[in-house]
Amino acid sequence: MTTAAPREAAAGIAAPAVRGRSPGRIAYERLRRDPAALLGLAIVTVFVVTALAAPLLTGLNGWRPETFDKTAIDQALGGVPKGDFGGIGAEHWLGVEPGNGRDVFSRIVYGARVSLLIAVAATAVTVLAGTAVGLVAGYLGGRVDTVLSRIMDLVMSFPSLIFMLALLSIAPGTDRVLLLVLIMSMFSWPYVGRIVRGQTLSVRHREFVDAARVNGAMGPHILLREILPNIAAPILVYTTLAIPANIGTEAALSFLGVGVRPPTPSWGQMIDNGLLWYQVAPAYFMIPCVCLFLTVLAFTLLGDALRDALDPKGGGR
Amino acid sequence: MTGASPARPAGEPGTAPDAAPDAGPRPAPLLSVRDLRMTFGKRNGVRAVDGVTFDVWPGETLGLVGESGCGKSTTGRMIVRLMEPTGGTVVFAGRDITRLGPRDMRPFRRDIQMIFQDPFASLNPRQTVERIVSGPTRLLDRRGVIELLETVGLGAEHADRYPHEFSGGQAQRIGIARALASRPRLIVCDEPVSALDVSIQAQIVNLLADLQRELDLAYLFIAHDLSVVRHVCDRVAVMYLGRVVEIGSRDAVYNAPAHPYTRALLSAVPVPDPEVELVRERIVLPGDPPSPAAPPPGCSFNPRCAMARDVCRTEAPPLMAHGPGERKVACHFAG
Repeated sequence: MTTAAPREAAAGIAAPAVRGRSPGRIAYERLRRDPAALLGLAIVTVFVVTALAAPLLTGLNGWRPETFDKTAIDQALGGVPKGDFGGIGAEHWLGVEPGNGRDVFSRIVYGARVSLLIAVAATAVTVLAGTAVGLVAGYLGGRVDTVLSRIMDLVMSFPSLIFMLALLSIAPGTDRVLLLVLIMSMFSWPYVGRIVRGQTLSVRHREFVDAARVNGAMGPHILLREILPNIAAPILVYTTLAIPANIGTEAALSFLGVGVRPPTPSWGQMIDNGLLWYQVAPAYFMIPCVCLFLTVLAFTLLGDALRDALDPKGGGR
Repeated sequence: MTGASPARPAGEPGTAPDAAPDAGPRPAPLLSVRDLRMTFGKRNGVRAVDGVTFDVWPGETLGLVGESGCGKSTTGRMIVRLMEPTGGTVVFAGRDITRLGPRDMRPFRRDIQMIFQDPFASLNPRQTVERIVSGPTRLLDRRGVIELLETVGLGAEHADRYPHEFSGGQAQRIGIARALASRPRLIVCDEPVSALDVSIQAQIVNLLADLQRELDLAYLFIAHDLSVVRHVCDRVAVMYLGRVVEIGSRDAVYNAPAHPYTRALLSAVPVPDPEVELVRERIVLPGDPPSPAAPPPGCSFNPRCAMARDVCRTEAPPLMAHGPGERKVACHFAG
């Protein structure tokens, strides 16, 4: 076709093979050059692989997490592990639990499973619910927004730890993992909801949303295709930062005795247990603490790096 | 003398075809806006658009000019149904589309498109050009998109890129391609060049003119730049405080403005000839436009008008035929 206009478009497009760099691709390339992000990612990967491969790993050392090993503890001393550093050796790679001689490595590995599963699932439920409510509140506005926002304020005003303790103590359910996931996300979804609502408000009046409407787009399309991709960055960052927070919460609840029930292992429960023995078997107390610390640190590093990488103004690195 | 635009058959001089569009031999207007109103707020609301009436014929360009806040963009947004009018009707190709629900509106969405002011804000930064142009309903396949990109002066190599990789002029071309995707008959251009460099403005304006000729498009061209409007429009409507104060063929309005506001507006346009520019007479309006929340009684222009008499302060002048060129003016003392 002919256009009388000189083609300013024709300038600087000599290489037709150049494919556009999507905003996500730019963030990925920034992330790849960030050492903190890579460290975080490495640690996260180690723990995730550990959790996934738990049965294989315990197969290697030959100890189930629930199996007692009376030979590894000194019955005369009240159950203190035999050997140095809580009984660390060829037989028990990270020592044994004082009192009953359960293998610490196996329990840490299965504990990673429980901790990560609960944290990730709770985060997923939190983010999904929060995003849905925030999108609807921000897009529809008016009375719907008022009602949803007040509900969010109400839930956020609960002292969540105390309510979680109370609810978990009286909840009858047998599936503690599911119960933990539900109760943890019950108190955290409004935080996502608020972020998403605010972002939706700012994006909904941009002209490309109007353009989509002029082209006949309806509510669901506008929400999911036009608005959501433009607010994905803060949601993603929140998600990565919510996982370590949820790992901490799960550990805290297990530490306080309302988390997963024994014999299912969990890091918080092990720390709680280790507290009784820290003077005679400090290694048993330290090992789950270090795991918890590393996991939380790694996810936080990753989340921070992700936030920097997704920030369009954060160039120049 | 003023001539009717060549883009449509000449009407009968002296009649008021805007008020009775079916009179005479000319074809029916593509778009008829009747007494369109938009009031923000419940009681004592802001009357952003206060009874606007005009027609757009197939294949012509109607310019809608006025200063910021006079309601011209609001009018455009009501026509494409981005805003729900609080009064009046919008008739497109003989059908009243003012109260159509979203589903009934869909077939008309194809016919009425819009080009936006800010080329970057109007392109979703997370979508490739191909997705943007093919639209939410995936009107076009890749070949169609590339064809359209070539129509607007871009190329196939741009289809996989993202909006942030383009200049303002290129981005506006993408916006134009998107508007063309559904093969519309009317495009509402809401200040399509005012965010662009002057050098790029000419290219976009010429592109719009070429497309109009090739595709038989009608434009409602909203702008505040009077020289651009003079360049592209067949007819011009001047808005002040939510009302049309003067409407007529471009030459009639530009060569012999009848409303005192139009005269003041046109006198503000600089002339390229420095000698003429030196002696050019400028009408400087006193004060600011009144708040549309509390318009003055009578003619809304009376507080700033040098010709205002008592009748102007009590009686709002209707839009009446005035002289040749199908011109209509809302002034008690038009002359």
